[in-house]
Amino acid sequence: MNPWLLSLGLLLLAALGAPVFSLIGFLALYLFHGAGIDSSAVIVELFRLASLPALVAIPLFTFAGYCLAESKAPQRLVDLAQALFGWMPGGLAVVGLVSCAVFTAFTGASGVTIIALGGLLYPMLRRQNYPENFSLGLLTTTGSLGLLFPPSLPIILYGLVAKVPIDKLFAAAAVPGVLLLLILSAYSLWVGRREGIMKVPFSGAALARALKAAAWEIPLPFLIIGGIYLGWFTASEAAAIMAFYVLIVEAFIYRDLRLKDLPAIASESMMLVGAILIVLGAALGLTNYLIDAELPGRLFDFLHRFVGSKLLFLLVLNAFLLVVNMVEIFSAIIIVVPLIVPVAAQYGIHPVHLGVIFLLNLEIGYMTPPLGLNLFLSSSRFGASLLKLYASTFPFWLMLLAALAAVTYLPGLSLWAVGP
Amino acid sequence: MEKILRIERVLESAERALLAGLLGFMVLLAFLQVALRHVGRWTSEPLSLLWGDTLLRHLVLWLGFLGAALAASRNKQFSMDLSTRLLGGRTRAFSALTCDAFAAMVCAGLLRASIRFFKDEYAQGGILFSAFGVDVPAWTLESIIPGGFALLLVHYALRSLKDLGALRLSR
Repeated sequence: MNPWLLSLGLLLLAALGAPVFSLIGFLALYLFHGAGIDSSAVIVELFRLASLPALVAIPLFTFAGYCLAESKAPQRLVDLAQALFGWMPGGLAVVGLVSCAVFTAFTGASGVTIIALGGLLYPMLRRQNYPENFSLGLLTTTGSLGLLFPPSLPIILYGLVAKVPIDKLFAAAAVPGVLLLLILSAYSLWVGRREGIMKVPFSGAALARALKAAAWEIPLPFLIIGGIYLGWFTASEAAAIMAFYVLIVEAFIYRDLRLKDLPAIASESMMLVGAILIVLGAALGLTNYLIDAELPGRLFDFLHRFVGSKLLFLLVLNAFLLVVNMVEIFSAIIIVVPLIVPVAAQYGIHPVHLGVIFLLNLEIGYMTPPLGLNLFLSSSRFGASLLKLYASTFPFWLMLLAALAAVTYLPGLSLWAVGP
Repeated sequence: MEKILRIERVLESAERALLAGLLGFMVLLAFLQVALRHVGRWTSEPLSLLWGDTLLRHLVLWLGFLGAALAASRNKQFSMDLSTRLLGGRTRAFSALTCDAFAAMVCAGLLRASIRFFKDEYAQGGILFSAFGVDVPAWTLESIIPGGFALLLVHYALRSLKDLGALRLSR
C-alpha cells in the first residue's frame, strides 16, 4: 500500500474518532507483516506488560482515587484547607489551589477534579465576590494541578514507558510543582487584595473540627508520599497500601461508600485502566518496531540539520508537546515518549529532566485552547461557553508558560532533588 | 436491535462482576504481600508469597482487558473525538460506523495474532509458578489475551450493528 495513502487514511480515521489503540494495533500488524515477521510477535510484545513490576500500581492507585472521589473526602479536604488558609487575603483561592493539587495527585489526574471539587469551590468563590473570570480560570487551571505530585498516574506511566525510576521522577517533579503552586498562590493573593475580598478570621475551633473530621485521611499523603521519598516502599507497594487503606476507611470507618456501590466504582475505574493498558500494550509492539527501524536516530539526524542547539531543541519540543497533549495525554505519553527519549539523550538532556518537562507540558496541554480537556470539562460543569473559558484561563496559561520556561531552561530546578 | 442491546447487557454485567471480584482479590493480595514483606524484614525470614507478585502482575492483564472491553462497549476508549464535537446527524452516524467497524477489524487481526501466540505457549507448556503444591501453567493466565481481544471484537461488532441501525433510522 502507498505509505502516503495509508497515513492519510489513518489520520482521517483518527480525526473521525477511531480508538487510538485500534490505529496503533493496525499499524503494528501492518508493519510486522510488511517486514515478514509473524503477527504473534505483536502479542509477544504486548505480553511484556505482565513483566513490568510497577504496572500493578496503575489499577490500585486508580481504584483508590475513584473511591476517594466518590466518598465525602472532597468536602472534608476543602473544609480542612479552608480552616488552614481561609484567613489569608485571597485565602479561598489558595484553598482551591491546594485542595485541587492534592486531589488531582491522588485521583490520577483524570479530570475528576473539576467535576468533584469544582462544583464545591465555584459557588464558594462567587459567594466571596471573586470575579467570575478569575474563578473560572482558577478552577479550570487547577483541574490538572497536582499532576506533578506523587502518586499521579501520568508520572507512573511516564516512568514505565521511559524506563526511568519512578521515585526519582516523583522527587524531581515535586519541585516545579511547588513552584507552580507558589506562583498561582501569589497571583491569587494579588487578586484577593485588588478586589478587596473580605477576609475570614482564623478560627481555632473550625480548624479543630476540620482536623477531627478528616483524621483518617490526613495520614494518607504523609504515608504514601513520605514512604516513597524515604525509600520505605516502592510505588507499587505504596499503591497496595493506599488501595487497602482507602477501602477500609471510606467503606467501614466513614461509611461514605456502601458495599453495593463498590462494584460500580471498580468497573468505572477499571475502564480508565483498561483504556490505558490496551493502548500501552498495542504500542509496545509498534514502538519496538520503530526503534528497530532506528527511527529515533533518523529523527535526530533530521532534526539536527535544523536544530543545532539544545536550547532550540527544547523550545521546539515544548511547542510540539503542547500540540500533541491537546489530543489525549495518556496516549501522548505512550506513543511519543519512547521516540523522544533517545533523541533528547543525543542532545544531552537528562531523562528525568525530560520527564518533568513532558509532565508540565501535559498539565498545560490540558488547558490549552482550543481542545484542552479541562476547557470542555469546565464548560459542561460550570455552564460557561468555551470562548469565555479561553479568555478567563489566558492569564493562568501565561503564568504556566513562564513556569514551563523556567523548568525547561533551568534543569537544576528539577534535578537537585534527584542527586547525580 | 432489542437482541443486540440484550447481548450487550449480559456481556457487560458478566464483565463487571468479574472485574469487581478480581479487583477485590488483588487489593487484598497486594496488601498482604507488602505486609508480609515488611514483617519479614524484621524477622529476616522471607514471609511474602513467592508466587504472589507473579500472579498480581498477570492479573493486571485481566483487569486491563476486561476494563478495555467495558470501555469499548461504553465508548470510553481514548480517541480524538473531533467528530462528535464538530459533526452532526447523518455524517456523525456514518463516522461512528466507520470507526467501530475499523476497530472491530483490527481486533479481529489482533485476535488471530493472539491465538497463534496462545497456541505456541500452550504447546510449550511452561509453568508460571507453583502455589500450594499445584503447578500453574502459563497458558491459563495468558488465556485472557485471546479472550480479551475476542470480547473487544464482539463489543465493536455489536456497536457497528447498532451504528448501522442508527444510520438507517436517520435516513
